[in-house]
Amino acid sequence: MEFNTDTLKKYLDILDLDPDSHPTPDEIYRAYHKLETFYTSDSIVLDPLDDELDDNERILILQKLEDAFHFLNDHFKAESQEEELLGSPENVNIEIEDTLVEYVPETDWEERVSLEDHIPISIEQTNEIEPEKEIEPVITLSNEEESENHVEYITPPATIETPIEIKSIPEPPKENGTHSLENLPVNGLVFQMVREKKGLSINDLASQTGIAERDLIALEMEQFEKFQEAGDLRYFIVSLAKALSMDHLRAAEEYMKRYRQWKREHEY
Amino acid sequence: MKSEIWAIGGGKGGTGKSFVTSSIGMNLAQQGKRVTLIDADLGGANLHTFLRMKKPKHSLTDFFESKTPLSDIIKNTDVPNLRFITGDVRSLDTTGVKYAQKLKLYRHIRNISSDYVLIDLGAGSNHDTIDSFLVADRMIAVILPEETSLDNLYLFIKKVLFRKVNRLLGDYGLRDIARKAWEERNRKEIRNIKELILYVKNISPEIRTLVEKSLADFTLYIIVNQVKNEQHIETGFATKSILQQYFELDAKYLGYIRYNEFFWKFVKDTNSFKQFSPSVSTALEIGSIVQNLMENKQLNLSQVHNGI
Repeated sequence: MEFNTDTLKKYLDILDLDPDSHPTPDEIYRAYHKLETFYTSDSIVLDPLDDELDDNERILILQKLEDAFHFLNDHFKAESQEEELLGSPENVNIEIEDTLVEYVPETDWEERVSLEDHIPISIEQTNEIEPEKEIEPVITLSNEEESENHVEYITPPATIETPIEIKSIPEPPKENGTHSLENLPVNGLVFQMVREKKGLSINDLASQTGIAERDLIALEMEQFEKFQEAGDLRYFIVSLAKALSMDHLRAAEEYMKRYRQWKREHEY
Repeated sequence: MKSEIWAIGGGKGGTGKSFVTSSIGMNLAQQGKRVTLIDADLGGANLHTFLRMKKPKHSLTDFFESKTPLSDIIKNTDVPNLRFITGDVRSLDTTGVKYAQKLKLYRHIRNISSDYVLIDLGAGSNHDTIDSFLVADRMIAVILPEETSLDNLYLFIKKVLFRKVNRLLGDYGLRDIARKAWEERNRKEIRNIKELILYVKNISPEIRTLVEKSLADFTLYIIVNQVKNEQHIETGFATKSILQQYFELDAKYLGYIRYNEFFWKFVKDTNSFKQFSPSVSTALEIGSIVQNLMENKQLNLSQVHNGI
């Protein structure tokens, strides 16, 4: 029997599971669900923090719990799948939908608004933006070519040797010619664009955030395989988004979604 | 060999800290460990009542004022391996004790020939109490499954955090930064202790690393007392989660103690608090908590569902 690594123990601890155990998907889900319920209800433990634990904080925490769930579920599901192949008794596989847990703050029915309306989107705009420029749906980064409509501020970092093809990003809605970088779903390329618009190099960001340059590059390139732990990845994303004056909650939500999708596609 | 120090605190409220301190002490003593209990409870040093002792003549006040050595202040109890120091109202919870004196006390406490030193901090939450809390190897908070108790715990934790950060900054000659930032918090848009800590962390990368390291070292051990139902048991898990996720502190749920209406009757009638019969459920619960403390383990969900 394998022993659990420190990372695993950390995630098990977050969900109040035995750090030396190999929980079933059912146990993992129940543990997660209990905490999820706790953070989306009132209780004597939460009420004293009413004035400071606001909705955004709760969402952040729920995200962390969700990550813990996904991590443990993926890890131990793989194990239990192995067991199934070897002829163990049936396991129940429970998956939760890969959506943000909906937390609706208590308000009067009339005033009830969706959380999305609350989340401010605030990416700085600078004078250098030319409103007419559109962003290409598919962009290939390479040291040699530059396509015609290539947005001029995209330059590959010096240390990248192989060309990377970034998957398509949706076209931004056109609104009276106003620049709409802020409406793009956040992904690695968007981070790069925001960074370059601000005139920041990878090195600048590294100094500012304390994140290693190679990690920043990997984030922008969406080289997910370079990140072992979802928790670390999220931490990087949030730090990066804050350094770029982006809405860090949205950034984390959207970027981590892409990460999880990648993970699912790359499971055995 | 130096003694291990466990401090029991958590802020205001009669949550049962003295009871827990003396119970843990007795459990350890019965296992053959040498234990010294220190009563530092401002609310009326009454640990001696739990031990069925008369209030001792000498207290820590004599240590501070008359330089009486600790060895003269420590009293034996009727329980083998269990000794006791009374704090007295004035000793650990006044601001009159200079920092240097406190350090001296802690040094002496470390060198008491005991395996374990348990400090009952009672309801106190000023600098001296908090410093005593911070100097301990294990920081244990006893709470009741009631909102006021959680409220008091958070207040206590915030003071502890503030103190810890201030002390850290003080070590680097930046003592006033946190205090000033807190005083100007409206202008700086600092709404609470978390944002204050973020503010301090952003002073410089070096400070950030130091603060993170300092906070990573801090673990709070939780005991829930007077549990009457399963929801009360859950309070421990919930509190641990909030401490980890919101306050970003390491926390462990040691266990719970069921409300036992027969317990006090038992103690009063038989006058035998000292003789814990292992069949008393409270004794079992204490034993489980002590085991978790010694093995650095905690309660987890499967233990609760399967019944301990």
